[in-house]
Amino acid sequence: MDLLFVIQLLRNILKELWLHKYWSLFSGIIIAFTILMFGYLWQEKYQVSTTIYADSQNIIQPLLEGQAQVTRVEDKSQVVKDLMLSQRAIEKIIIEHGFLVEGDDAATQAEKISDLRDEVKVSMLGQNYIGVSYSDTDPDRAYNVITHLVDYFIRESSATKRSESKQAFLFIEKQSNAYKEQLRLAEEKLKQFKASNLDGTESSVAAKIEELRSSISDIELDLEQAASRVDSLVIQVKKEDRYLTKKAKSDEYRERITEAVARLDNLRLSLTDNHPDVINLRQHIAGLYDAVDNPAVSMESVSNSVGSNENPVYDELRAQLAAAQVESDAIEKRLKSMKVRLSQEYARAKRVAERNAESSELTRDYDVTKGLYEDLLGRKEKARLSMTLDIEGQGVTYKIQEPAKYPLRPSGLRFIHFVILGCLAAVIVPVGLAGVYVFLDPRIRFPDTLQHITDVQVLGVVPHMISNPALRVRDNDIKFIISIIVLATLLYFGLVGYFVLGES
Amino acid sequence: MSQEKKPYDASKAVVDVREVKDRMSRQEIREMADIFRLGEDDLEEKKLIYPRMRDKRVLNVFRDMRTKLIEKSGNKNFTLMVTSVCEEGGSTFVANNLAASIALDQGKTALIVDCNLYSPASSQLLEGDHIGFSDFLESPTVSIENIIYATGIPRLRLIPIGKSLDISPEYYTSYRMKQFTEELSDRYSDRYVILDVPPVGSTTDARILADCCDFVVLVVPHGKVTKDQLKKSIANFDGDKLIGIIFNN
Repeated sequence: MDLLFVIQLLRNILKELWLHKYWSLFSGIIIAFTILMFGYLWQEKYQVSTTIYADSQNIIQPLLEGQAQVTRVEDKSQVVKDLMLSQRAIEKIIIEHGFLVEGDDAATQAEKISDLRDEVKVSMLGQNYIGVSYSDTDPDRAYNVITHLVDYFIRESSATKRSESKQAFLFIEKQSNAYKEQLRLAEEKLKQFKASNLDGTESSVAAKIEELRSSISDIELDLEQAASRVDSLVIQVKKEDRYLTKKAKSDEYRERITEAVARLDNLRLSLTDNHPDVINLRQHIAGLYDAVDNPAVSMESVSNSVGSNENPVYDELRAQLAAAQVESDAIEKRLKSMKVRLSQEYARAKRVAERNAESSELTRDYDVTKGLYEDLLGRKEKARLSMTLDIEGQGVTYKIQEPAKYPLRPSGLRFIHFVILGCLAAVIVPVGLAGVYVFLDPRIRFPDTLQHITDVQVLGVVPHMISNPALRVRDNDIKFIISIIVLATLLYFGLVGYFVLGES
Repeated sequence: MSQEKKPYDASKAVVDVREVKDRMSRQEIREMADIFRLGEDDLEEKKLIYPRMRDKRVLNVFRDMRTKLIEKSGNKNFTLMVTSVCEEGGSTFVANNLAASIALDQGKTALIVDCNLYSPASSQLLEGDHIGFSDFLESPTVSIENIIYATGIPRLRLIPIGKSLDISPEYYTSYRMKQFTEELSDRYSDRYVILDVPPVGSTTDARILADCCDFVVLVVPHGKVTKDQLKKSIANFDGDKLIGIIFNN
């Protein structure tokens, strides 16, 4: 859109305005006065606002981190609005602050309540600040209502919090009692089971079996040993003669000859045959041979064997054998009894395994119940602390950060705005409408358009030619219009003055 | 040039024209111009251009258009039809002023023929009832000389529509019409004939009369016609004849 187009557009708008000058003029005047009247009838609203600080970060919280739950302010604006605008609170306000006129029926009352609710705006200002505002046509009432609302809210919110945490505590307490009873039952069952089950534990049975097994193997070894002893004694008894026979003296001499010969051989290794020792020894040997050959000596042995006596070694051996056999029998009996006990232990182990399943189920029940109960006990203590916090007024507290100020000046649209708006609209509306008309009207208003429509040359653009008489008429029209505008403006501001003075 | 102002007297003008009608030459044309003269106030009132007018823009635009037209015709005289796309399109104003601009040149004369049977426009230039174009077509006894009138502007003549307003446009194709155009343009080589014709959008007159003319000029009034209307109007004419469009504010 170039400058030329804008200029042409403006010219066209002016032309249209001139063509419909009286329409434009009077519509402008009517618009201005309508807006002025509207502004006069407009009820100025006084807005009062206050800020509440939701103090959830007090000194108690870090101290009790994880122990007590400080009642939080979740989605605070909604909570605040719900509490502040509860039916009870609103009804009280409606009655106390003169919203109700005598003779109002239920429907009107409901409507007034809903209107009041709409006028109260609650918004979060940052993390912990809550802004509450209320507008009313009467500044006194606006101020009173908001003060009332905020007081009520702060009182009510602490009461609500207290009852909430108390109820939480009571609930947890009830639960913990229930678990306590359950735990007692589980304990009872486990006790009964243990009393009826005397087989001992799996491990004790296993130990016993192990012990028996090792004893048995020891006994078996002992038994083997005893048996072999019996065997060897039997052999020895067989070897030994029952009666004892004396050795002949010749045997003695022969043994001494053998010894002497061996000694002689040794001497001959180191000495010559002429050495006196060797000669002596030879003589000795010869003497021994002689003794053997002596018949007296050989007879001696025969006489001795006729007079026989009991062999003491034999007797001893027999006694020993008997004792060994007795011991072996005893060991065998012990082994048998041990084996019987082992089989008993095996049977016991089987029984223990069977009862173990039942026992573990009972124990599990008991453990779970116990865990829950202990947890609840801990929670109960936390709840007690939280409740105490709320009773003491700690935890989240609401404070009035910025108290409501009495409204000295109306907020929103004021009369002066309407005065200005009226003036502006009186000009802008007709001009704007003319502009829209020029813009939307499909008829050709710009010579440039011609070139887009046809190839035929545009010979020229004839400016509007106004004749002298027409010029005079136009001048008169302009004078008339200006005087009307001046009159209307005077009337307009006269009215403005009248309204302003009349109000004050 | 005398600046003597005389009150406008149409009857006198007619007499004057008739007196001089047979002896016209360049010199005589010039003399004829002095017979009577419209004052500046009259010209202003009739919305006619004149050299010392207040609003020079209008004067310059018409001079410029005149120059273009004469250039296009190759400096020969022509018969130009001026018509508008719609009613009240300002074709009479354009026709009058084109003629007036041609007449500004001392070597040229212009003749306006009012062909507006339905809303006679020539009364602007000539007051009272006079025989004219329609009478010429209807009655063989009326000669061209009888219907040419002075306008009070030097070198600018007028043929009013006349009194026989009930003739049908079929007359435009008659022998008399042919005789009319030939006589007008062929008689004087420096005479430029301009036909002021009813709007092409509402009557058939413009289409029929276009055949008798050398050129056609279409007047597009400001803010009165749509693109479609303009396209339809243009389609009525032979591309060669339609010499240009004039946008009238």
